[in-house]
Amino acid sequence: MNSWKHIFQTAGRNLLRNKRRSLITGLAILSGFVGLTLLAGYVARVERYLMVNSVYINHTGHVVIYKSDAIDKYFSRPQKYLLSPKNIGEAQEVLKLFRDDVEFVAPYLMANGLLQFDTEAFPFQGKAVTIEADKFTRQHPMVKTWTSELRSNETGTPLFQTADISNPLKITRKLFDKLKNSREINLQGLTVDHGFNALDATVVATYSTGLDLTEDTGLMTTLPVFQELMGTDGVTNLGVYLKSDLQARFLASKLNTEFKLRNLPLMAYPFFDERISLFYTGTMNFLYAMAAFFFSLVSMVVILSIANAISMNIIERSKELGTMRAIGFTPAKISLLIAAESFILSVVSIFIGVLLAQLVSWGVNLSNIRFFPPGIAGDMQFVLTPWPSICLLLALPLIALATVTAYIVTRNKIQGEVIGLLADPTT
Amino acid sequence: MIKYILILMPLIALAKNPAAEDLLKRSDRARGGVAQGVTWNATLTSVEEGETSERKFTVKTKGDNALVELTAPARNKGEKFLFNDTVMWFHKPSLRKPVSVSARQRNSGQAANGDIASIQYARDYSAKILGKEKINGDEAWILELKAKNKSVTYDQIKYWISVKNGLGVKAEFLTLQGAPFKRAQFVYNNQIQSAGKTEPFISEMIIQDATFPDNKSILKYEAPTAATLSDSMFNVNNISR
Repeated sequence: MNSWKHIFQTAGRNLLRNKRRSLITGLAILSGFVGLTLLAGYVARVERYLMVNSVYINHTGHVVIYKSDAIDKYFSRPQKYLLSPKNIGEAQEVLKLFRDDVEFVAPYLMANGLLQFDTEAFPFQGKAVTIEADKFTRQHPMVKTWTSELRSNETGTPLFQTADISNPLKITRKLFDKLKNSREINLQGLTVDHGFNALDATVVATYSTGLDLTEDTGLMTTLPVFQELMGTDGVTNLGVYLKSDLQARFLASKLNTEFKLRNLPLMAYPFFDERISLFYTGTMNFLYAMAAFFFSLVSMVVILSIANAISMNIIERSKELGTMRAIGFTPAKISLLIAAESFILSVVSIFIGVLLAQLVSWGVNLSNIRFFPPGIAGDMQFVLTPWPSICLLLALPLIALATVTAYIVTRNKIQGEVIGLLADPTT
Repeated sequence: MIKYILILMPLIALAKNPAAEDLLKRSDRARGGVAQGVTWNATLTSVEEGETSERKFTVKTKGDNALVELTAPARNKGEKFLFNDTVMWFHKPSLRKPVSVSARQRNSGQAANGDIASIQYARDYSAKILGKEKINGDEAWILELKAKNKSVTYDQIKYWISVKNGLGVKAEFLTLQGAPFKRAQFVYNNQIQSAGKTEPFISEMIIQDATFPDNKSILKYEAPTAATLSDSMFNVNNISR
């Protein structure tokens, strides 16, 4: 214990003695850490935005239950791949086993067709929701926290307040503009047995899907409207909302095991399955790859800075190190001392880095910088969220990296004869 | 002498190759294009990915107009399609007013709205004779039909008309690029009495997906009867009555 204390005391003293080099190495670690933290903060913000957009705004749920194979074949054979009331009952029976994890379950019915006003018609991709599901998602704290911009884009009466309106529709702003802002329109589509059908409908609200791809075709309505249009009492899928999104993979896997055991023709998918949320998965994979690239880059900079600083340190202090060897310090002990210097330096740098990252984020968030991310409908605020968990996740490997690098480099440099170190002409 | 031959040559050619438009007009009659009016019952059976569905209609046509009323299944009873010249309307009792729909929109299975009662190829398409071909042992003219406007059911049709009886026997419905996406065959086992004459009338139209031929719709025509129909029947303002 005393030995460790002594090592750290000596290491601290050495750092103060070599202020200039300590400062340069510390700045390399600090700037790398701040850069990584801000990047991770941005990735975390985008992930939350896309997750909330996919799960809540577009009514997917954390886990989606389809009839087996429906995910590929539903739109070509809706009659066969709809969840019947019997299927829904069976799925809900299984979900009771996981009631502690489940916050809410909602049935959804999807349809494509045409919206028509006068003689002009435009295609839509729609989803029908229950009044309860609309209320649940709109008022969910996650939506308020992460996608408040999308909520502010919504105008009109929420679906859950349209009990007295026949066939209410919520459509995207672009679609509404195409329909010349007409509220009394006609909804056309195919029934589950491929027959043509049409309904009168009323636009009660406009909204944003949050995604560029669906911004001029998005439509939401209440479940009875699509059930009448399609001539069915079934639904496309069940969306299962969890108390924690971290449980999605686990629950989907458990549900599939249970469905198999009970021989039910059902299949559960987590929201991050690319067949469920292609945009979320595609974007996040890209961002994760980018973050991993930058992390490797910063790690390389940290490794090289530390290796360089230590090499210089050893060259400059070769007489001192030679004396230490001569009075009985083993190479391992000297390496530990230098590693301790590096450890202290990285801890201090990262501590300052955490404060600096928070300060920069606060300034950036306050500046309300707007930008147009690819694939996202409209602009969004450039928000950085360097959470403590992110800081910790980045700090630990960086500290370890700095310490281990210092240890290895020192071990390699002081392996030679003691006399060689004492007689080094460069010091 | 040579001068006379030169004058007569186009006339000889005309006598040999009938005008494409005349061929179309003649074939349209046997598919319902009767000026005075004709009614029939139709059953549309569609097979899509192994699933079968059936719809029944009564069809009334007069000149360029047609009125199609669904009679089965029960939940579709009262639904109407009106072809008013080239504009198509849809109405059902729960709609506030008739809505204009596209003739190209799928009605059921492989059949588009326009397939049910859009019978005026001569009015809707400009035709050109491409040549002759034997279909089931009989010679047939091959016609290339091009849509005169965008409101018609198809952009292009390759249409075979029997040389012997002037009836359309086969069609390929083509994309704008000229690739077939649906194929149809026509059978004429019905007859109607019109202007004192007995004429053949279509009894079956089989429409198949060009890529997946198992996906098909069979439109059966029953009890065709020449009738004097009132023009007001085809007025869009009266469709909801």
